[in-house]
Amino acid sequence: MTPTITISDLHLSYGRTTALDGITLTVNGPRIHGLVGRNGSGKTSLLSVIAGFRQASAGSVELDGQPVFENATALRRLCLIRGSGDSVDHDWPTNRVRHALRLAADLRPNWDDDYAQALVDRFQLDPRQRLTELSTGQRSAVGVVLGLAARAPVTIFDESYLGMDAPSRYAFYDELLTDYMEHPRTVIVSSHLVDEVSRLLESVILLDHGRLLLHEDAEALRGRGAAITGEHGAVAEFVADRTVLRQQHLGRTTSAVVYGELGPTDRDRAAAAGLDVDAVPLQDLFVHLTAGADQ
Amino acid sequence: MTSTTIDRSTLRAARRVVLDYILGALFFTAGGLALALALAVGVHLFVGPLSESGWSSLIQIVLWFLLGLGVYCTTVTMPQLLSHGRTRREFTILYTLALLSVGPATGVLIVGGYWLEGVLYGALEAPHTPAATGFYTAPDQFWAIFVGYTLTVPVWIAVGGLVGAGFYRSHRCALGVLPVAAALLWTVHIHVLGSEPVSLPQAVPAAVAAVVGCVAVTWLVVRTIPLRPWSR
Repeated sequence: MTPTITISDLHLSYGRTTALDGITLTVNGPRIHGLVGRNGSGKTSLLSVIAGFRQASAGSVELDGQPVFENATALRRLCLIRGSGDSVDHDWPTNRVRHALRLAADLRPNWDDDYAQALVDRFQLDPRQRLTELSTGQRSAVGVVLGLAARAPVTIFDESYLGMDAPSRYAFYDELLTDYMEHPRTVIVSSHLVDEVSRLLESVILLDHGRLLLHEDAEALRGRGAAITGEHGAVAEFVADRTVLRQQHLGRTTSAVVYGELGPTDRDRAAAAGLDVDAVPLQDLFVHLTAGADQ
Repeated sequence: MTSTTIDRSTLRAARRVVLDYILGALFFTAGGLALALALAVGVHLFVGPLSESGWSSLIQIVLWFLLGLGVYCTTVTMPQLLSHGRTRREFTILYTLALLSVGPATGVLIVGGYWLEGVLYGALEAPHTPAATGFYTAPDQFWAIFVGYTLTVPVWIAVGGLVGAGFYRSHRCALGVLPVAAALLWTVHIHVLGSEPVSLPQAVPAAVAAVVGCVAVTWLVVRTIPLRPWSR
């Protein structure tokens, strides 16, 4: 059965600081959801509560109708990876990469050992190395291996790309997509690098100041903006009554990113004026939407 | 996901907490015993005649290592289990099983240590008398020694586990549990291994109360403990 996470009026406070403020959300699968938001927006807090790492101050998180916190059945189906996966980092002397794999193999009911070995090779990890000797990127790669090979019905990566170089990040995205196609499940990826992960995402959850700003299909969200490129005067006239997120000029050519859906009439008008209309990067929409919340 | 695989992973979790901690406790105890025997030979050869059991003194150091093992259990092993889909309740059950199993296992090894030491002291023609303890007065009272340490060792580990959980949760919580931990340790030492003679009816309720009290307070600390409470 495809898992459904139901979050109702979720609040989380750290002393006087409110991290999550009344989040209500349903996360369905099998899909890859992107959780985006600025620093301190509550991404890690939300994921921690979803995975039962923390108890909510108020509200509820349910997996297929069952509360998650302290529920053994629900928690077996969830895997949240932060950094190197809260693994054997401090478990000296058994704090090598192979010990981290052994721990996960022991405790994860759906662990795929062969796949884990293949991932270790792909990320060029040395199983004999201690986690404390690894670079931040290599530790993140260990986390990615633990998360993917766990094959949990709900797999969550919290900024798992931290410190990874570009080839490793793209290897992670490729592996995530390939494994998701072979073993469809609910995946949540929290990231600042919206443009990089946007090709993976089927839906976007945007948090700001602990509140849910939007939860929308990624394609629909992309349709909420457009990049208009053409002769300076024609672009200026076309965007005059629209919300312009960003503008760039090169000689007589201008490119403007506008927020708001373009209907068929708008597109015909743009074509008649000799303007190119392209999809807008999610990153631009993300910056615009979160800056708007500030104002 | 089948029930069989869930059962296997649960058994493996149990092995990691119960069996690994029994082996850890035996490792520290065996290390202390080896040191005690080596020191006895060294003192006899280079310092002078032995006057009392070195093992009964070294056991005090072993107990502090066992307390450290308890700290390790709640600060390292518990987060590992929680991060891999186990509940705090499951951890506490396994942890309690570990406490109950470690006592007799360590007790047997400590008794074996006294027996070995007795053989060594006999060979060296040295008097084999224990340092003052309340529960046994001679190193050949094997049954009393076994019962005494079966009761005492779980308390030391449980106190370590409580302190570790307190520090893992928050410094404020740690300050709260330290007096409780100290009181429980003091109780068991007065009633089981103190300098005054004690009897079984005195010792058993005190040790059981100390372990139960320690596990109960530890449960209060860990039942909602966040994983990595310092990160947000």
